[in-house]
Amino acid sequence: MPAVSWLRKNYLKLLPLPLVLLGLTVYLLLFRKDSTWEEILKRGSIAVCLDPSYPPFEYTDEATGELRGFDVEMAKAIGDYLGLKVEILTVGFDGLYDAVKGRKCDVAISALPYDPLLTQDVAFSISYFEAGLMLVVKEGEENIHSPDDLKGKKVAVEWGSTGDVEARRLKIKLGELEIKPYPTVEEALRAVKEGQADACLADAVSAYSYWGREGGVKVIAPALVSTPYVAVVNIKNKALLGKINEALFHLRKTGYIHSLAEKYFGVRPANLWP
Amino acid sequence: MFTGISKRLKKPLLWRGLILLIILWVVTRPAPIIVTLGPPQKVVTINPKIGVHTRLTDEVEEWKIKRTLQMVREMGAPWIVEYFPWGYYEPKKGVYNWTHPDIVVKHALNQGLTVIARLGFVPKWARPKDSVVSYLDPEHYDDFGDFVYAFVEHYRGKIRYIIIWNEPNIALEWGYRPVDPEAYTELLKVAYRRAKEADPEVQVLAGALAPTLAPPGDPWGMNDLDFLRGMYRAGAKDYFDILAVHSYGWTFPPDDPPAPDKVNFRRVELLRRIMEENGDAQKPIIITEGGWNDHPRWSKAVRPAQRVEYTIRAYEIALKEWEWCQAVCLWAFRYPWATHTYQDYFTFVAVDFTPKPIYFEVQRYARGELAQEKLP
Repeated sequence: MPAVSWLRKNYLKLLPLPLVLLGLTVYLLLFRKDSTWEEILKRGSIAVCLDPSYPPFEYTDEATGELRGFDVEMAKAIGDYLGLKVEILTVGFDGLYDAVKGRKCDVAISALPYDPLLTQDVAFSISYFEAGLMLVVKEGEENIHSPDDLKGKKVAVEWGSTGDVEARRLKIKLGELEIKPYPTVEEALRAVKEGQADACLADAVSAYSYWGREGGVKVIAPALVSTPYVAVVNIKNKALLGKINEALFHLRKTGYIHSLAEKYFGVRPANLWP
Repeated sequence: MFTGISKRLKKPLLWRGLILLIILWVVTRPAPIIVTLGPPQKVVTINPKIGVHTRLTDEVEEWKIKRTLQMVREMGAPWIVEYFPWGYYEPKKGVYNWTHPDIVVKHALNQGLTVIARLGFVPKWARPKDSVVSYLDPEHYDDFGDFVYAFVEHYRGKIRYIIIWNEPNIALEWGYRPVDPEAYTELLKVAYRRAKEADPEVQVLAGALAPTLAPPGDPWGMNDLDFLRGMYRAGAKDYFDILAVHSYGWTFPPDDPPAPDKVNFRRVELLRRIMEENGDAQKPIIITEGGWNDHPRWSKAVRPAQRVEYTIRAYEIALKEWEWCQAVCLWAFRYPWATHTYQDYFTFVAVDFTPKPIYFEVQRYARGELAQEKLP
């Protein structure tokens, strides 16, 4: 039992040991430098995950088999800004977060919405596209500027959609409001263009697509329900997140993202991010 | 040391401070949510076959359990399927804890709902280390039988329908082993005998097969039609009262005709035909999972308007055309939390209890308000 008797005599000398271990753990947890960014710089390329099943954001060109879309071009622009090659990996939509968490790729850029319930699992960039619920009116309409102006109006929605949910909510709030449900969002938007409805509540992607393709309507910002698309990185990759945000901020400022919207939707919306 | 403390406690300021702290704690602490059962309710509906699969197993707060079941009743659905995991209620062999399921069952019955209990989920003590919860060796079939006996006895007169296992024709639900209709039938026999011992009136549902087109020899599953034939060959006929069927429509409308090489809502008719071929036509079917999904990006999803239309039509088909179908319980009423996958787009009600338009439309249908209406 000499060890026990030594401990009895010298336990005071050992007291700082747990404190040192605790301090070291705290340091490692809080201040350990993430090396992902250095690794990316070393290999000279950034791995981007996306699910090419959501045009115009990401899709496969049937003729050439190449990946195309808003997100594909934006990923390349981010790579250019950071001086990196972009390596694109296709992952199913439901696997995108896991791909980032499991470091299968460095970043997911795939029309992913910001989700406050996932902020402990992954890190989100600043937004590059507001895909939320928009108020759409006929071109030249000057009396409807916000949802509050919909009192007594006919509002077209895609039956069962988030626009439908919001219209039902507005009806309770405003009292007088006639909801006109349509089987598709295109038909709901056409009803506005053709004067069968005063306004339509539709998601931004559908609204901009219709506006650019058919004309005759306009989209009123801001979104009634915000759904900002963001890039997603591993929660530990703080340096990478900073670089992605820097690149996105640059692309926002230089008008590049607006030019992408114009290319893929045929319109240049005023407010592309919340 | 103690003298010091007692001296300090004698100071009136300190006492006042302590009392103030206690008052602040009492005033500012969140008030407990008192949940009462409320008066007994009845489901009002024009279609007594409407049902949903609820997800209350992991719902901790009682008010949320009550709210969910209230909303099911208010939608006009008299049936629910709910999962009762064996592993949750028998943590040690022979030691049962019915606290949580008792809450679910009492509120469901008070809302006038009929509960179909899905039984499965092997506890740790009944399976090898590092195995999954769907892994059950034949040597533990009797343990499962004991649980079935205990469950049926405990809920005698309250729960009249139990489903034995879930989707045993896919490896995921069969412990990641090759699926085996004979082995499942053996399990069914044990469970059936024990259930009837506990309550001869209880209705035992078998199958709950996953609709799949898996080719012969597929390591991940067996075609549901082949699996049912295999069950009959293994002698399952005398060991179930009702066939449980999972009937997903994917992108097909509910009237899309059935075919062996297609997974659609009417695939259930093919399973029905197999029952008839095996002299089991007198037994009913209950659809214990199924429906459509309206995720904007999932390849097996439909548009929200189609989902509404298809769902109501599915309930209508069961009522008007399928005499042998006792209920259609579609997946899923509400999740306790968001899954952040396409799964979230199967629900009728959001996590925060906001009803989706499909909820209101089914409600209008159940109230008979949709009978004369059509989409523009």
